[in-house]
Amino acid sequence: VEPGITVHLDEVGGLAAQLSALAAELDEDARTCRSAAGRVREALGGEEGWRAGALAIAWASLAETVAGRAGAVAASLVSATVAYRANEASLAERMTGTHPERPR
Amino acid sequence: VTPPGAGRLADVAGWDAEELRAGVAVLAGLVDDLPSWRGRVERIGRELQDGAWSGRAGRAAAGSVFALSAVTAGVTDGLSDSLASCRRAAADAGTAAAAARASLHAAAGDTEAAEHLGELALEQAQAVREALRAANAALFGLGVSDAFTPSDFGDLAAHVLPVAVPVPPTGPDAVAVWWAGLPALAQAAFLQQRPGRAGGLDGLPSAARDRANRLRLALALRGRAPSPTARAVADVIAAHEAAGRTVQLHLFDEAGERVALGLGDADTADAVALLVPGIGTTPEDDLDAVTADVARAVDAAGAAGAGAVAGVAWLGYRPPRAGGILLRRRAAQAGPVLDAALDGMAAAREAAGNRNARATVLAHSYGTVVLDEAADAPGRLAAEAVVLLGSPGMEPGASTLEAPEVYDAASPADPISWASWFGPSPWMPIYAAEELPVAPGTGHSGYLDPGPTLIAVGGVIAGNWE
Repeated sequence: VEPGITVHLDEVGGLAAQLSALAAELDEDARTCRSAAGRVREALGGEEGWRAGALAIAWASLAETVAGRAGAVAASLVSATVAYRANEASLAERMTGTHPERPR
Repeated sequence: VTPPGAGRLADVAGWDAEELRAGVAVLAGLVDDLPSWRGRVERIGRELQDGAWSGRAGRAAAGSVFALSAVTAGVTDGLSDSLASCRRAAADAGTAAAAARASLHAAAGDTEAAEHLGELALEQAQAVREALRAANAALFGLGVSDAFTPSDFGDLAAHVLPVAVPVPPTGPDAVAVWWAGLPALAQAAFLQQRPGRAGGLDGLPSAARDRANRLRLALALRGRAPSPTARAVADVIAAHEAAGRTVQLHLFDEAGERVALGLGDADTADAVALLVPGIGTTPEDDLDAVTADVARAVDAAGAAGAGAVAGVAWLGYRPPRAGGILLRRRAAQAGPVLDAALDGMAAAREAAGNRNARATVLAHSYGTVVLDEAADAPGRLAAEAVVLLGSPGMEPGASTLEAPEVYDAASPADPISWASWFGPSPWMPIYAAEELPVAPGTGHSGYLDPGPTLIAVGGVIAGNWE
């Protein structure tokens, strides 16, 4: 049995919002890197240009992957707080007997 | 007279080093930002851990955030190394371009100076190329190769984090349950670090096997002289993906020349059909045609109302060569392999909650003998229906195939269907298979061409043929 469970839903929600903002920030960085791919490709042309462009796209893709994960974790935190609140409401209904009768 | 390397010199003279430096500065901005970004992520993890949320779920949430932070640290290290090489490339590009321009300028007057400057420009240009290669190599540890990057965060994390590679149990059912219970990072580590094992592991979901086998295919294609098998597989995948189909590489055994290529998602399909071809079939020469047969069967099943359909061209054994003496030996070896492949697909569907899917085996020519041997393997054949096409004879009795429904298509114009080399032909009444219609004049390789047999096969796959 878990020794103790505490959850501060507003705090978790606030942390989720921070993480979501960080995801958006990194995603913007990734977009900037992606835009640099065209510049470096054009700057060199030929095989060197292709390599430099591919490199910049790889950088952008890595940043997008990390940003995407940050967004997904933030969304999971939000979902958890929603689920907690729904469960709390359901428990409250059961405790006060206000939940609808089950069909017999 | 145009001196050797003049074209290359002109290219290098056209390099815009300022623009390259500006692009590299943009990339540097990411490396500058990441440490503080990671610090803020880390703080969120600590706040979750230290008070916002305790208990198992809270610990799991904080763990996810810390994993994100750890992967970010790995990415930052890789990008920092890559950036150093990018900066070197930008600096060398400036020197190379200036020297190339000076060389071209001097060419009209001072040929000795022009030659010297030209050599310097080409040396520096080579240094640029090497620096860019080094910048790319610095990302290998993150799973990046040229323009190919990790497919998702789990894939990236498996490169960066020290995740222990799990060891699979024995048997398709146990494998399917084991896989479903593995954390995503452990799954990714297994696929990346044991792609050979994962790509042929019966019981793994088709999507996972596809990822492992595509890794192996990419490696095979990267070599100097890719094998005919690798080239054939890549070509057939490209053609069907270009046509808008979902393609899954269920098996890629390059050395053994064994391939299983699927159309549609075999994990989630309502109906799955697996085609076992006959003698002389190789991935190099026949994967294209066998997969085209599968595509037609899939489409026929779709037209018959099967819902989502997946089909697999199963070249998972090495058939005897055409023209040789036909023995059961190859079929006896291949039968248990086919049996395990069917068990594995069924177990993976079951683990994914897809319990009502219908499986059909389409066996052609010597493939019917392989199917015969698969039914002899321990355990029941994991198929609701089997269709025998142009069989050269089998062990007596449809009931020996263990499938609830056994169908046969045999054309009078197909000499193989008269052969009875491996037992009675299944079109004989004593065999007790249900006969499918055949167009007059159908040859040995024509059963899955457009026509009445194909329509009937579609109905069998869909489960509504009468």
